[in-house]
Amino acid sequence: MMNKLLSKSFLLSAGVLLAACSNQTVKAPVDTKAPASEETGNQETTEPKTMTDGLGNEVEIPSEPEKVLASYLEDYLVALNVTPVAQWSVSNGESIQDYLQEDLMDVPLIPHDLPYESVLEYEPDLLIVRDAIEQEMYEQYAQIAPTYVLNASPTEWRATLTEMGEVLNKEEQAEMVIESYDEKAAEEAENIQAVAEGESAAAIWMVNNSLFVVHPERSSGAVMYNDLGLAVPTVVSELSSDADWAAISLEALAEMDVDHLFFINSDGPDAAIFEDRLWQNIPAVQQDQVYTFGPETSWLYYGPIASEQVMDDITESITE
Amino acid sequence: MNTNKIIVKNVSYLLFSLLTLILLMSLISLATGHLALTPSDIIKTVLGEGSKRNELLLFEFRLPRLAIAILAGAALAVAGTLFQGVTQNELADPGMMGINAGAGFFIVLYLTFRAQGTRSDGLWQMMTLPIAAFLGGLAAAVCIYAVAWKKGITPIRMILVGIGVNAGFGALLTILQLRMDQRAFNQVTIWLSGSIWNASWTAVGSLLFWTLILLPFSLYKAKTLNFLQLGDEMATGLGFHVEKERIKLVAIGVALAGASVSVAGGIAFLGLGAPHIARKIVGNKHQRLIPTAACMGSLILLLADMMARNIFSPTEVPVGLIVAVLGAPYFIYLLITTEA
Amino acid sequence: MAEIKTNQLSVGYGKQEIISDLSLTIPKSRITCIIGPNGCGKSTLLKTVARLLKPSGGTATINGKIIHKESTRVIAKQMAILTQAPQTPEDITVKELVSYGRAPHQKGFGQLQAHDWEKIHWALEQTQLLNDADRTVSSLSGGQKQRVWIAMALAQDTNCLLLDEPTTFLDMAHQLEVLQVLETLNRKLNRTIVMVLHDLNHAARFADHLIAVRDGKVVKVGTPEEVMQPEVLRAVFDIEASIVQDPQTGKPTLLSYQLVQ
Repeated sequence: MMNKLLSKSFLLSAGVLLAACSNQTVKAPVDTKAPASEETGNQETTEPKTMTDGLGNEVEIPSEPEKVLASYLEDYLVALNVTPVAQWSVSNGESIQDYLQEDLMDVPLIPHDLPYESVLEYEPDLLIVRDAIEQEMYEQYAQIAPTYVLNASPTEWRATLTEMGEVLNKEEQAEMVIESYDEKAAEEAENIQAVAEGESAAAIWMVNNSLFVVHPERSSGAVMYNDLGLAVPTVVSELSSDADWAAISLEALAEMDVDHLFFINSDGPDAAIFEDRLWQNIPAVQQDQVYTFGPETSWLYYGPIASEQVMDDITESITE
Repeated sequence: MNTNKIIVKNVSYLLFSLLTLILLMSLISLATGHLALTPSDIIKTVLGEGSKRNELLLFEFRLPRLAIAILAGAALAVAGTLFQGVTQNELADPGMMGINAGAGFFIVLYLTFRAQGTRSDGLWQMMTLPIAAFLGGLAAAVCIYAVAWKKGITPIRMILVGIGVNAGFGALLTILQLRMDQRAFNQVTIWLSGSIWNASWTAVGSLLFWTLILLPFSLYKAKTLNFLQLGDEMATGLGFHVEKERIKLVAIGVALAGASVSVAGGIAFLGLGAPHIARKIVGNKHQRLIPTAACMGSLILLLADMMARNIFSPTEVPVGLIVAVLGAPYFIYLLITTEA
Repeated sequence: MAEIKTNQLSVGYGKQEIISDLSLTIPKSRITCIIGPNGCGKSTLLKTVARLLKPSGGTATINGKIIHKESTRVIAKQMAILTQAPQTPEDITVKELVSYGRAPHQKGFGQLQAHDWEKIHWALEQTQLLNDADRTVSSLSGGQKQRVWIAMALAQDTNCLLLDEPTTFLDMAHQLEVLQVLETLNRKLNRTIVMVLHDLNHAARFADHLIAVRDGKVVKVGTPEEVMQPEVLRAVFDIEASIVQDPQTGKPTLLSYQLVQ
């Protein structure tokens, strides 16, 4: 009896020991593909380059990544003509970036918290991460593929695009995208001023019966005020929150002196707010200068494509 | 008094069966998950002939998690056993008495004030985190002693004050959390409900180090725990320095709970449930109770981790939540079936 | 030569003093009983001597050494105590509980040696529990349970036994059973026995030495004949006592009593 017990325990410990020892040989992250050295028809540099990411890690970036995973950064990938190996999603596909689906139609989904096994499933060769993560998590991801945490703030899409361009060896293309966007923005700004000189605008998001207003320098706010030159209403500039979308009450909204109200409605056309007297008395509502968009639009997102779509939405709404 | 007990006489046979069960469940756990890994895959991978992906999956992800589940389960169960012995109360649990909250608070404090954005050495953090946790648990224990001490400390006062300390540290933790940004807040919340997400071999090493020291030491204290069952006065009469022994046992329990919390977050119920179940099976003598509780703890956490990974695969549920979901009905059942 | 002494001992709970300035001597190898009304401090006195309570003034000594300054282990080898209604661990057998008595003599990992088992066996023999050694304590009768605790105290192998109301919750036959065991221990083995007893007649019957306490002070000390006197009982218990001699034991017995007018 004792002998049986001993030998089984020994086997058990041996098993664990074996596993731990095997672990030693798998230490260094190995690319399933060797860095493209002598590939045909390749004008780009063939050496993998090293960049320092937002966590201070020295990351060896493959020069021709074919399976890029950059969750919540797909906008930038699409702008740079890179198709990711999987795309950001919430709750098993309940929520995805609808505005990008034309280009991402066939791309499978991955949960936004990037569970290890999901990442492993797609076997990416480059992982670009938007927000800072714990070093232990970083090291786990780095075992699968070179992992790069962005230095640029995700609220600055131009800086992010530039950095993504650098990582993906598409610096020129990134520059071009920014240039053409800025040119278009200047043009559209003129068109808008011709029709609505000095007028103000605000973007309000309704979700779960709560209202939020966009920060003047974030997301669609940056497009409205910085790129297209629309004026910021007093109520909005007085909000002190640092969040992309700040909570605002219906009363405060009713007091807002705004000419053009862009309303992003996640609650559907039957929402209670439309029956509310306060809502109906808002000047923009009465003057029929409320433009409604659904959550499938790009108003809540960041990136060159999102920003351009917002720009188009604004121009269409105001100049029609 | 609960009369429906199964007291297994031959404890070594029982322990052997439990260990075998743990081994079996381990293999099953390794083979289940979002990505398929059959037993033959496992064998091939262990022999070095598996695919790169399976190697990563087995050795970098599932095996460390398994090791942590087993070790943390045992550590928490033994910590609970010690606390129940010290307080002479079957419902005592380091989680309930604020030790886990104290440990958690110090850990979150430590992680928050660690310089942000600088690359922190994973190994350094793994070695120092359990110490931060231990200090936090100790702080909670000191608070308990400070408030409950009145020429000595009675078990009932310990528990009552412990509950208060738990609330206190919970409140401090909430205050700290409210000053964080959304993402950090979410992370801490998940961590606090217990998650073995970041299992890495350094975490395993750290926990292994502490458990290898503390578990045998707990077993060494088994006799003392037995004598404490006679009550403070009789134990003193037999020559025990009851206050000193209590402090020693609390320290070991705090260290065990702290090590566990530092690696697996706050997991409630295990310190309460595992010894409880073990006691039903092997009775109250600590030489049998401690190893049995340890095995039960490992088993429960192992199972819970397996469920946590697979219920909403590939998304993970914090393992502490699963343990709580499993544990709550058990205790309600106990409440119903216990004689008034 | 006296074994246990107290010298101007004072003990209090919080601000309240239960025992004040109490000096007495417990004679060696005798049975001493402490009697008195509820709340007079007799339990407190016993517990303080047993170092379960700390005195606020004065000292208690055993063989000249101050009890509260010695290590608890050293004291445990000299005196064994049995408190009122001790906690019985669940499912413990008679043999196991008695073996706990060897605690102060064990070293390191605490494995019981042959020598320990001899003492345990002997303790079981003295209390007639050999046949019940493997039964669980909870399955025994009240009297048997008390015998187990006494056996544990015996296994502790001390010269003194201190017992706090060892018979209070037992029925009559079991009470006598226990007291007779203690008496035999004293007569055969010369153990010093100190007990707090509730029942006057038991105290008178079994004690060699009586200590009557009231309000934390000693009222009378002496033989049963000396202490079982109407004046003493009046002072201690507020009763008018009729005392006769028990025809069977020859000891003074309280026949009946009236309230003091």
